[in-house]
Amino acid sequence: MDKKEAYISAIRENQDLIIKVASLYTNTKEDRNDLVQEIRYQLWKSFDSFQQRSAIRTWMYRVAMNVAIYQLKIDKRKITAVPLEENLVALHSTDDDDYEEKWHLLKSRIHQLNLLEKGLLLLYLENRSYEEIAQITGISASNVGTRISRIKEKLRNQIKK
Amino acid sequence: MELDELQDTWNELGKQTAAKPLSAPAGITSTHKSILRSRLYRILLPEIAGGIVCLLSILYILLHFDRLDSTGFRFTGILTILLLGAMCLLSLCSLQYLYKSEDLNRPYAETLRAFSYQKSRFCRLQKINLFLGYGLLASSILLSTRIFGRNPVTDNKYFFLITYLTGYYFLFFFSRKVFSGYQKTIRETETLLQELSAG
Repeated sequence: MDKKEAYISAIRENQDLIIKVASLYTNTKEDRNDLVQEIRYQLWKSFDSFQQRSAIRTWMYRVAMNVAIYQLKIDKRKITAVPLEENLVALHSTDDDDYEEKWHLLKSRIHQLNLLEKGLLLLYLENRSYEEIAQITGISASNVGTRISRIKEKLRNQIKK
Repeated sequence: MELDELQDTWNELGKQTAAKPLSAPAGITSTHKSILRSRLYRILLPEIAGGIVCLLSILYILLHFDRLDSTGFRFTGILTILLLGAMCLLSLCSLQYLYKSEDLNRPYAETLRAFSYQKSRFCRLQKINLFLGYGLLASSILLSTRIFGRNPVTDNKYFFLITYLTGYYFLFFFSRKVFSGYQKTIRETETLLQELSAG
């Protein structure tokens, strides 16, 4: 299998990952679509550097989350806060208003977290093991556990309010 | 919304994306352009334009330096040149980090650390630029009375009152919002850096 085929197959199998990362780190549909494209592009550019020491999905999480941070580097120059766009999740034409509302609520909860917490929560919601989260983030597995507990506590307190 | 519900909502997003796959990643070849890079150019253009205006102003002051007929005005002229030069340099320095190419394979925490340092530095430089803006306003209004020669506008007895009041009123309200934005960003990045160094 040549590089292009391997890349396309990896993207097809893990496109949910790219969309989820992009959805979490952006506030408008346009930004999300741009980020999806940028992640794909950077994955292609970095594909040679994937050394198969970790699973491809683990590597893709790392690249995708790093690209999301670089996008913020540009977007955060605009000091004014970008309001959360309604219907952000509309990846496809969906009539599910209830889901839209839930997604909006989830985003507003996550919006309160800092970038480290946001990244950890994303991986936790993705059911990644603490070891894998440690591999992606560069934080020790025990520390990941502690931080995730704190994030959960933070979210619980938000919910109570 | 409880935590379980958050998880359900998240999982639902996964189902939605899987249910209707995106089109094949076509065009991932040399024709594909980095969106971030093209956005960077869009950001850089006005900054370069601002830099050119600063440099042209310096040139203009230097060309008409002989019109500054007293030590006080000559001092103001030099001060204005220095302020313009510093502002231009600071603006370009603060943008420099945007162009730094980064290693996308490194751990997320390392990327965050670098990002936070850069962001904090950017905000500090911009804050300095804002302060310099106050000085530049004062010196340039004063200088304009000599550089542009005597004319009915500068000879008007209310000239200084009107220009200083208008200029500072605008700058104060403009910078207050921007300044608080920078302060907030610096606070947030410092907290994040502390958290990262603890882990």
